[in-house]
Amino acid sequence: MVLPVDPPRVAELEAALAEVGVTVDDGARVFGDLSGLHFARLVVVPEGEDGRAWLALETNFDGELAPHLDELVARVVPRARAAFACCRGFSLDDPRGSLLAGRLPERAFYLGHQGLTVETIQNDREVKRALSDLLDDEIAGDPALLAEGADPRPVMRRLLERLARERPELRTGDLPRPLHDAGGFHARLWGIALFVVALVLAGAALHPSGAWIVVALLLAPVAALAVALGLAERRDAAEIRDQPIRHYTRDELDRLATIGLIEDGSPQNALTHLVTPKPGALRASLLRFVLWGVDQLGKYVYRYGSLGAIPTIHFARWVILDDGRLLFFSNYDGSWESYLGDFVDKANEGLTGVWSNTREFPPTKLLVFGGARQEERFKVWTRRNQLVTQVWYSAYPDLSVRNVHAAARLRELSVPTARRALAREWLGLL
Amino acid sequence: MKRADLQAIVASGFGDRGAARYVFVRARAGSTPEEVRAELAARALPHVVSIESNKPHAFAQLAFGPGGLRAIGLDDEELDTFPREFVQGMAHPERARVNGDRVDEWHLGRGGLDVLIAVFAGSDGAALALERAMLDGARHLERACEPLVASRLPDQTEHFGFRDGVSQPSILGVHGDPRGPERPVPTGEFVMGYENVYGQLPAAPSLSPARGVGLPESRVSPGRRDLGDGGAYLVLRKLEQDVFAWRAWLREASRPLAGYVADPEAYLGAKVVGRWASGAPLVTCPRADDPAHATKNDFDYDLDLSGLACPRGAHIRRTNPRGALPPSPPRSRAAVETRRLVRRGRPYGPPAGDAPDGEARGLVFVCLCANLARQFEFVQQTWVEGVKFDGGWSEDDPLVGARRAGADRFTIPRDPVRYAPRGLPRFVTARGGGYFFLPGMDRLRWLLGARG
Ligand code: HEM
Repeated sequence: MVLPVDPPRVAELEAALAEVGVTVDDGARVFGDLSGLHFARLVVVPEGEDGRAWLALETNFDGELAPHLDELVARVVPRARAAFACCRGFSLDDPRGSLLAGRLPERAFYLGHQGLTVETIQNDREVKRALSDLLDDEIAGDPALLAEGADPRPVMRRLLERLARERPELRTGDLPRPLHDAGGFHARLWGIALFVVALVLAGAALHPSGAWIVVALLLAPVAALAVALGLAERRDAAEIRDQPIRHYTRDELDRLATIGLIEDGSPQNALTHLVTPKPGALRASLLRFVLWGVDQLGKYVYRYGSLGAIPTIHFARWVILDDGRLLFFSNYDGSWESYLGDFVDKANEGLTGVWSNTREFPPTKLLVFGGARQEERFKVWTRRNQLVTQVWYSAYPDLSVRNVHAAARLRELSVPTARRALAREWLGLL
Repeated sequence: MKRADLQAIVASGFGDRGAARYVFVRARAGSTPEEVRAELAARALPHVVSIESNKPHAFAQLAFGPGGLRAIGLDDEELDTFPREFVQGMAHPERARVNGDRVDEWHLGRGGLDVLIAVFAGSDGAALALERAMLDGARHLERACEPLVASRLPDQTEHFGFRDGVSQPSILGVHGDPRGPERPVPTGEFVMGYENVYGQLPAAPSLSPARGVGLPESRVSPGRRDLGDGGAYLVLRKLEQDVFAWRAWLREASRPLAGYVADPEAYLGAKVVGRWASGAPLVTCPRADDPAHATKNDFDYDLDLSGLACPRGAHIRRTNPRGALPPSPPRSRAAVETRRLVRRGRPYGPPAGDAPDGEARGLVFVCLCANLARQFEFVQQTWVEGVKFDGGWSEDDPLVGARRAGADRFTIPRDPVRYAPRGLPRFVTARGGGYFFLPGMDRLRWLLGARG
């Protein structure tokens, strides 16, 4: 959600958020008791060229919007009252309406552990901890467990018995894990492919070189688009290449200093990033198209947690503000440098596809090439456009995406088994 | 490639020169940049050798912290063309946060280090003599603190008793024939002015045309004059090693393994390092040390993804994971290539005897790279200190980690039951250090020359 703020009140808003504090623990005082809430943040979106500024409230939650809104109204608004009071037209009498009015559709959304609720994730973490402790305890009592090549099943049986006895509240075995149904997505892809084949065949039936004519007609707009894009890219590149790689302004350096003292406080971090799209209809439509593509991939292809090949993103989302600016939120594991390194080394085409349509992005070729591969320019560009994440909350700040998946697998396998290989895998997860 | 433009330390750790002194120098109060330049040019520059020089019995390498660059006349605008990490310096709170340092435990470089003169020689006497020849009687330069004096341990070991300096990247164009089957790393990963792994020239410091008279046009900052070509960044850290804590932990923590492995202490130590004391890697020698493999470096983790031979958290697997990281061994190798370090460290302090002696000892960790944030800081922050490294839950580097909050164990995968001792003591404590710019020879001469 984004709530408009009159620019003269931005400083007041920033002060109100600073009052809350920047650590995960500070965030927990605002968001900590909301049900099903994974991540949340409050960020000031500074004034753009047409003079509009916002307070952005981003939450990632399980379940339906209505009960979540109720909790926001009942808990978050009163706790951050001073911040909300800075928002234009925000009515403390009707916070629900004010929040709803600020809702923005996400253009692309990605979730690193689709289908796992906060409750499940926290349960699985406790299962992992409890079992690791029990195993330590067993080894302390009987070092012979450390002998190699032993049968894994008796230890597993013993540990599961103890878990059931000592931690009866923990759930093990399969839990429901609703994933986006990829069937419809695949059906649509097939539909399009069949449609094209049918057109080509129809062309062939109507005229001896009909198939070629159909192919040419289908490709013409793509070619035209590629030419237009190529020209635009060449213009953009000429502008960028004349700039040195590093050119932070004083303001930017100040902002980076603030960010530097917020980042890396826990194994997880937040990135908030704001850029202005390049002018023109071509760029605007390409941006929307690529975001749509990324969204589809996130929902239907990377369902088990690796956007491209980045195994460290919990949640990521792109929204487009009313003034056209593109706002990116993500919650990731590890350091900024490692996250950006993954962008550069492992997922550069997708990100380049999105951000190549925004200003001052490192020069690109055919939308997705180049760009983020210009490592230093790309990192400087990202830093220059990064916002301070003033208030941030995570429901499991001590878990990486890989931890979440490993713990879910451990919990699934935590049922008696006669199969040696499964018991071995299970012990390997401890 | 202009090899004569690189200071010699880029290519070599000078293993045949047993003595080394790291001398920290600053300008005397009141000296002007011209005076400081002239004195460095007269006293230090003649002893600085390049890769191509015939090396005398004693010689030096010269590098500058931000304060040193100011002392020889660079202004703020020019310093801002250096990386932020460098300008802030290792003791800055933001850098300390990244590197996991507690600066209040430091006694070297808390206020920054200006100029580093590293002296290498065939004997301790010769090293000291060269240091004195350069600094005794100087009118504009002075020692900022006691020099760090490297010590000699047998068989190229460090104080914990393991062979060090085995695995080094070979640098394209610098190391003529690649050592071993490893592909040479592009020059620009370590030296500015050359293409890096992304096929680009690294960002480099520059001056305005008016101030950089005599320097060639920069190829990365249009309209400016280049200061980077042939240069690198040098990281120096004084890392104190608690040898007695290390030995005591090996004894204690290896007890439960007695009877299940041949030599429990040697086994546990090797699992922590990733190599046996001789240097033999666990991947090729999973059961016992084999000195025949002491310098072996052509191995990978792709057949040991679960870490049964070499634990995922072992020091050498964290600091160079080779093909171990997701999504696949080839992509891991490609990504890891962007994080390589050339290490040039040496031990300091006397060898540890049998009983605690109250002496300070450790490693003068020195490494070179062209990008501090992407290479050194990344390795330190994400791989050494990162408690989530490669799927981990709550462990840092078992050998050198600072044991910050959340780091409390070390997992040794075994089949079927892993051994994961808890409560690792801190064996290594950072006592200080700094980031330095190691200019190429041409730029060094320009920097120390008389100019307008
Ligand atoms: C007192 C502290 C340290 C000690 C005693 C130590 C010891 C060792 C030893 C015994 C080896 C194996 C031999 C070899 O491959 O050369 C090694 C390798 C290595 N260490 Fe350290 N080290 C220390 C600190 C560090 C730090 C702080 C870093 C990086 C930030 C680091 C980076 C490396 C790298 C990159 C390798 C080579 C890994 C490979 O390529 O396989 N070391 N170290």
